[in-house]
Amino acid sequence: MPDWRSEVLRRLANSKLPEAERDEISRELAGYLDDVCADANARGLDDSAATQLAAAELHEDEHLGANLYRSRKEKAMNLNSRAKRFWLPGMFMLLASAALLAGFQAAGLRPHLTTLSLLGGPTHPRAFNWPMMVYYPWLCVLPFVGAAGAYWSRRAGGSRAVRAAAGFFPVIVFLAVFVTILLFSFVIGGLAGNVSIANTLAPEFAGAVMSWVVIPAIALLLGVLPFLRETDNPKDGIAVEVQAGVRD
Amino acid sequence: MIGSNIKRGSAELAILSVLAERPLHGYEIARRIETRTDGALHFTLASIYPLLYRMESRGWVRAAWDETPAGCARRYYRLTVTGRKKLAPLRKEWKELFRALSRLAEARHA
Repeated sequence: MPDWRSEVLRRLANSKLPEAERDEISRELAGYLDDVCADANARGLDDSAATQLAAAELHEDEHLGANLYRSRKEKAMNLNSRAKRFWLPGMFMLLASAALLAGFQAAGLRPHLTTLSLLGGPTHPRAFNWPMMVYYPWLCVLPFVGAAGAYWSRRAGGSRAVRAAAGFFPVIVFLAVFVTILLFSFVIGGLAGNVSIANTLAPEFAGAVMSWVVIPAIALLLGVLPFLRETDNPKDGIAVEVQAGVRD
Repeated sequence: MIGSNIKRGSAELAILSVLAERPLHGYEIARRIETRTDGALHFTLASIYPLLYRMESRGWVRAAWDETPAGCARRYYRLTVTGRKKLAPLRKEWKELFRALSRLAEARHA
């Protein structure tokens, strides 16, 4: 019986598979070819015919090495495309929005401080008063940030949901930070036996969510919306599909 | 004989279905599918391993070296929780497809 392992290694010699993977694959495929021969022998074929049968399977696909490489790398390629469609545009837009905010602050622009009162005026005893801090210049540029994130994701082949997530990424991060702070305040309040810490923080939390999540999200939405439509531009999304090795 | 496109689409379901019963190595998977489908689905080395590796990359199956009853080392594939979750909707999709095709064929003969 031929040394199938060497045969397989020769067959995979030109593939991009790393040596360790090539070695393991050759072991596995050699086992398969041994089984083909043994099965053929059991069905009454002589060694020569059995070997021919196994060799035919090994040489059936001239792109075997490339196909195996693509299959083994699919996960890495998927991660790569997810990074290009979501993480990269999302993180970049978060940094951009934070840098713009810092820039406006450095330029001396002051936030507009106000109180949002629900269920009555600020002096009403049962009213909810949420202190708010609004940077109007920042809100004015946020639609462009949202648009850039969604556009970037669409160019990389992101689905509607991914494009929206990339565009809204800055406020998603803000919300996660605020929720974490609130949870911590509950835990610390509970440990200190003073649950009123959380109650005291509740209006600030609500105001912060309005100032840094809800209102900026509306601004981002203005920019994201045009890029949630399906595109007819053949350039959009092609690059990553090809890189991800999507076939058929 | 079933056409190559249908085969390619149904191959994942076939592999997941046989692995749902017990862990198998590549050759066993190929032969078991062939036997169960009366030869309609025939896998070769070049067709089964890219599929198995792709399914492994997606986390549907996990592979580990083990010995056969005859003492030979083979890489055995077993279904993961993700693979098991994938199997039910795949079965449903294919049942719906075949039901639709069947209705189409019956309508043509009616």
